[in-house]
Amino acid sequence: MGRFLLRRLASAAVVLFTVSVLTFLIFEVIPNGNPALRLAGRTATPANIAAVEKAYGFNKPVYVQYLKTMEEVFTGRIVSYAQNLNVVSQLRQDLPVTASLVLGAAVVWLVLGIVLGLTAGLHAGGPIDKAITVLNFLGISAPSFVIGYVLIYLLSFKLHVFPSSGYVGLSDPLGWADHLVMPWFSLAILYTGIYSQVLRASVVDTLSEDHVRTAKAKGLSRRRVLVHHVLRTSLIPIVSLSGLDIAAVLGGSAIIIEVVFNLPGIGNYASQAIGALDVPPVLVITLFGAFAVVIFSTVADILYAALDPRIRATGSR
Amino acid sequence: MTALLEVEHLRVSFRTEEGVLQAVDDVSFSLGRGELLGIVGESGSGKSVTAMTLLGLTRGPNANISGRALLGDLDLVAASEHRLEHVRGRRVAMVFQDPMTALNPVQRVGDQIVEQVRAHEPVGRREAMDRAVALLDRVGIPRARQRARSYPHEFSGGMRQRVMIAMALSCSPEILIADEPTTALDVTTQAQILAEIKTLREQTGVGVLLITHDLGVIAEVADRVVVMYAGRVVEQGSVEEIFYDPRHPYTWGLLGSAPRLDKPRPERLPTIPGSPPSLLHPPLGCRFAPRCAWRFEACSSEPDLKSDGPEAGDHLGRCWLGLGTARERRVVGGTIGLPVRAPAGASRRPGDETAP
Amino acid sequence: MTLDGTGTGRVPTYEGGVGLPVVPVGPYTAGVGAYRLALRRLRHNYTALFFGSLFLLVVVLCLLAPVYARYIAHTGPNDQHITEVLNLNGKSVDVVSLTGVPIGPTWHSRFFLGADADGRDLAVRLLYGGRTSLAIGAMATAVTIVLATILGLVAGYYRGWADSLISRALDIVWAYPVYLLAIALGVSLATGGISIGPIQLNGGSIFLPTLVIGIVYVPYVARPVRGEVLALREREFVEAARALGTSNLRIMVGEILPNLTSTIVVFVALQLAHSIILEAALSFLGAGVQPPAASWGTLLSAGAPLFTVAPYLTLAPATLLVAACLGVNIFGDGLREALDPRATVRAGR
Repeated sequence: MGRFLLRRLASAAVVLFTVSVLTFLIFEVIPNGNPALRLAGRTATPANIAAVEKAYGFNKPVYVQYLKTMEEVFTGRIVSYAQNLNVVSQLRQDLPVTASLVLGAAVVWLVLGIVLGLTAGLHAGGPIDKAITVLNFLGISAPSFVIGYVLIYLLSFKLHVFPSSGYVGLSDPLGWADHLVMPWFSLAILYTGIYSQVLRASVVDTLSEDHVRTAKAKGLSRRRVLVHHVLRTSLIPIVSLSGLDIAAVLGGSAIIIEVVFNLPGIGNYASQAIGALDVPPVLVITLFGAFAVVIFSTVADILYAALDPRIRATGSR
Repeated sequence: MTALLEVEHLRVSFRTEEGVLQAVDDVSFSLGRGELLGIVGESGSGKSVTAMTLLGLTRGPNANISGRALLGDLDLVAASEHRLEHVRGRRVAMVFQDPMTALNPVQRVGDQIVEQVRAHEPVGRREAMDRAVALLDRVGIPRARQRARSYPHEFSGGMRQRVMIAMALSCSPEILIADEPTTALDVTTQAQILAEIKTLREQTGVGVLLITHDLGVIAEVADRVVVMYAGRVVEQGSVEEIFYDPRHPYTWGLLGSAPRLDKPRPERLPTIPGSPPSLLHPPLGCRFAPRCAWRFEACSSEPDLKSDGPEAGDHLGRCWLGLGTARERRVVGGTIGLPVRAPAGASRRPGDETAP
Repeated sequence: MTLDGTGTGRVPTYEGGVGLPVVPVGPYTAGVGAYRLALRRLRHNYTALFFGSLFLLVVVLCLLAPVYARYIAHTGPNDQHITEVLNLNGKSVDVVSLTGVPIGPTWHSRFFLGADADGRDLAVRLLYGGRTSLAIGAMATAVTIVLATILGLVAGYYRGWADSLISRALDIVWAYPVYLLAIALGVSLATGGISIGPIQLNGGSIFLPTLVIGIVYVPYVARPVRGEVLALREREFVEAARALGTSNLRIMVGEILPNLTSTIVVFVALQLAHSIILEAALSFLGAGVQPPAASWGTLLSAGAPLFTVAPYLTLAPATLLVAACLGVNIFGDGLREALDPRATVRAGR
């Protein structure tokens, strides 16, 4: 296990480095035009532009530019000129909101996804299975913001069940949850659909495997066979997917949902920056988003190896 | 001696996309205490389905099962799932063909045995583990106490199969069903496993149902034999009767196609020409007739499974040929077999029919 | 015996056989190729067919946008009618009221679904927007599939350093959350466009989001393709082709590629849905299609602030979006099931 861990961590480090280089390239090298202009934003003054050029070293060779950019980001000096804000401190402020949103949604989609997937898998081919499958596809086909608006329309305006926007801190747990229920479900429905389908397929596959037949032939009760043999093996891919999806949500749907529900998180900040084509915040968020994915996927891989002893030995199933 | 297991007119069919597949068609046999009954046939003959049906493993929405399988008073075919759970692993245990996939790959071997024991008997974890270790030791696994903590992929094929046997015997069943237990193993290991099964039978008096396609295995361990073809029993009797006085052309073909050490090597290995029929659309009449060199008018209707008279006793055959004719026709080139087909285009020479 | 089951059951006899009369045999099933089988299965999958038609319906409607605009609505997608007054059932109604609230669905030929804040006919914009969204979706899918197939083939077939390089590159791109990468590229390219080699695009071109969406999904498709190629190249028919002296390129294109067809076909359907949704999200945030051009995403973002007073501005594009994606998703899943060789085994037990 130790060697596997080392290998995994080393490879993660390499990826992190390459990601930082690529992000740099995306924002400063690949597009046309003056990068200083781009970083300074649409409303930049000549003083801004000069400051940018100095901080990022645009008159120096490329690799120096890269180093200076990384320096700006990791020392927390990077600034958005358009909004006159320090990017990193703004992000730190917004993080708890985004974390509440994403982690809460993850809990919802894991629970729902597992329940629906298991039910569908056990009744495969029957009407329950077909109904759940159509529901899943509906979940996959409707973008989260569409679901968000529909929920707001139905539950906020028509039925007045939940507030339509805003965020309340954890100091008021009921208010906190109240404002987050609809955002959680908007985010979770897509992944519920995906996980439910994956688990269903996994359950159907596992049910036809020889060792499940052996378990049955041993005279084990149906429940024991299900939980202990089928579910344990079927849940393994879900574990590794979860890590990746949490990171994906962080960098994707969360942005949109925060806009729809007006939650003051990282995503909302990002969308304002995007709309104004204000590059520095987008740069930092992209970089950290990718970092999150790499970290989460490494953790997920390690967890997977811990759960399935075959991976440790051979690196694959 | 009352039989441990009486199977009567077992029929199993499955509904598929392309129609109804009749996997097992009117199979009957019995198994006595301490007896080893071999069921032999090629792939698709229905032997595995028969075995699995006895434990209710073929039940499903698309399966149609009829007939009786009496374990003492209990009819396994009609029994509820709940009652079957008490039979499986306790009164009737099964060993499957491929131990690598049959064992749970993410569970330690000792735990898998413990799980079975504790499902059927009110035994604590430690005591169950002691039993598991004793069983592993009994089937010849060295350092059983340590190896009980290993995973299946850490064993060799032969060892894995021994683990499966140990697991199957853990609750002292009355009947052991072994479905091709040695097919996935090399010949040396095969010999060891068969010896193991024989010893266990002598020690515990368990009745064994051995499924195989390998006549050599049958000759080694079986007391009685059932020969299956296309879902039907075509011959059954004691192992001596089957090997020395076979009644059915298919059996002749099986015996004739086995390579012999005591005869000079033939230019071509004899085979039964043609291939088994589709179980979706089986031939009308005798199912072996399309491949049989001795078929005649009567073969267009299905023969019954019957014995040749009171002296033949329990030796049954499903063929229209009279006893005398059969005994004559089955000898080809000095041994029992089917006539060999000459290659297309070759002219027919006398003596071409037989293996030299 | 003829293959369709008619005729007498004539069983091959042996040479020098005993000259026996014919024994009747049951009818044969003629061999059916894999694609025929798949088509047959698909034909019986009514759910998949229904949803596939739903998708086609949306496509056709959007393609007919110019026809609708000219003959039914009598207005273009960018024509503003802010000050216009309509005569509905005898009453005079402002297209856009004095408080800025546009008219709701009239269910008449003009302003069938109402108007937006600038007085433009929503139904017309919806269909034109659909053309843009669907076009971008289709082109991006083409980009993804082509690139992913090439990369997957090369990486899986040659292995060695080519595979390491390509796999590493795919891993890096894959490290970015898809949306974030698309946003990043969208934002950075929107300001200046791109000019790398033959690709010269300025900031407002719709080929920019096409390119972005196409590239961002390449790892998603390339990895499974590579996995299949890795498995296929070990098969005997590849070995046989190599033994015959067939060139590597010929083997890749002639032997391996045809076996990838079912995987690729299924991915086409999946990617269509993904690309359409991503385009909507990007345009919604402002990193995709730039206004005043219409796409479902820009329509959604324009309708968002007016959600309370004019919910249809958001709900209309949302409905078409969901209908299109649902249709292609379920059809794609039906396709996958039809092409799956294990489907017959499942049906039996």
